[in-house]
Amino acid sequence: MEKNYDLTAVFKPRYITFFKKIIPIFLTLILMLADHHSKQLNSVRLILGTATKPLYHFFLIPRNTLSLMNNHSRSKASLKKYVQDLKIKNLELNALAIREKYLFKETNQLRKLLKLRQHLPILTTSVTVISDFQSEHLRKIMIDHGRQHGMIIGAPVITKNGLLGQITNIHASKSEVTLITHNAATIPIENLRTGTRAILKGRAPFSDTEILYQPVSSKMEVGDKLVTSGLDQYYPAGLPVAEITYVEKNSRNAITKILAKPTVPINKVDFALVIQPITPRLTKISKKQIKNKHNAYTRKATDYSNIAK
Amino acid sequence: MKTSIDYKFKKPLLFIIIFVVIIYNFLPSQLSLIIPDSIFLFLLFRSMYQPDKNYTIYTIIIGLLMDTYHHTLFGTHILKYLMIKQPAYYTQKYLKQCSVLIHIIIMFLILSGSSLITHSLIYIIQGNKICPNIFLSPLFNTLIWFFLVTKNNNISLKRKNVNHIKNIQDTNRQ
Repeated sequence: MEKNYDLTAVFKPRYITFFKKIIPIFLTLILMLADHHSKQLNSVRLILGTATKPLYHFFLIPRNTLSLMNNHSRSKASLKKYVQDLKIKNLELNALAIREKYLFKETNQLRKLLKLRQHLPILTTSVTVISDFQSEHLRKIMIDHGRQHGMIIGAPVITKNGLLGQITNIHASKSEVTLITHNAATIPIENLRTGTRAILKGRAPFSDTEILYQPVSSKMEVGDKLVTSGLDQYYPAGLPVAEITYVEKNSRNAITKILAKPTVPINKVDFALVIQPITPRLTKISKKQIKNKHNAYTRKATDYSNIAK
Repeated sequence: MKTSIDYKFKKPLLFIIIFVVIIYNFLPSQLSLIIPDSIFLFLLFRSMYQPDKNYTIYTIIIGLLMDTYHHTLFGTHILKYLMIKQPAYYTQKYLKQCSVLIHIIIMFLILSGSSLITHSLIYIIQGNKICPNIFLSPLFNTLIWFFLVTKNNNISLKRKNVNHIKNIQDTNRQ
């Protein structure tokens, strides 16, 4: 028996309206997947961000005006006190810096004697936090320096209290900093008291971090201070990262659960310092060294050939 | 006679409202969880009181702008905004007649449902854990909605009651 299919039924208005409602949602889902899996949309984001920059600044006019008014409303006396405090702090820091310079020189000389690799001086750039997106599924901040200012992906960002995060995305004049509490952030750390090395991982949406893969026999205790170990060649060694707040040792589990609170109050950051990562500088040095060695070998080879002649 | 349902925005006024609403959403804040999403509310209002108007393109443009600004996955905000359109459209007739409490409960369910679906999708795609605080923002949005709309809703309810009493009186007379 032959069946007659009514093709016009598919194009009925109610079906069309249904598809009209569903198609944008499907397209959005595809867009989300594409953005997650391909890096090509990053350039689209970059272009869109640059194109909407004037609009963005325009939208921020009310906020900037409010903050400007707030700054102007500060009394003269409080400002004088603030400047005086800053001057005292600056003096203290200067004294510390002189001492640090001397110690740095001394350790490098000792390392030279022991034929160990030299410590590289930390190069920093001061930046201002321009926006803060610490929503439920985002642990990121934006800083006012970008590709134009020589920022590079992977550069650690610190404050006066310790490590804040790492640059993960760069735009023309701003950069995205992923905070240490982001669940994709992992940092090689060292316990200052015991010297144990471990890996610290963010626990977003929670505002603390977790130390991974510590055995039950681990000697970490509540109150221990954690600093960067410098093993990843990105974070310089010795930067304060977190303090242990919770240790759960359960004989049933092979791994101890250790939680740590970041030393930096992540919600209250206005200014930060971007440290130039060690790895690119190391590779530059090694390239230079290789080139020098190559030149020396070629010189030697030409000398030998001359002697042979 | 104009009822509370017949909200008509003239185009310049509409653009001014969109502009103000975007400025409000662009204000960087430490309390992003408990500050209501004004664009969300505006679109909800439009889909409730002007269901015949198609605003998908507006939604996509605003959503893209928000995604670029907030550095979230492209489509997160668009999806969030589109997800409220359908439930609001299908429940609008019932919502205009029901009591204030039920109205608020349904609105909270719509808002939190949209938020939950979006966060679940982000969890599936990116693996970001779902925060238990995701219902805070819908709660604040619902509270703002309560202050914005309940007054008008009461008027419509009163009108409905008056009409209902008149009908009963007519039938009694007959």
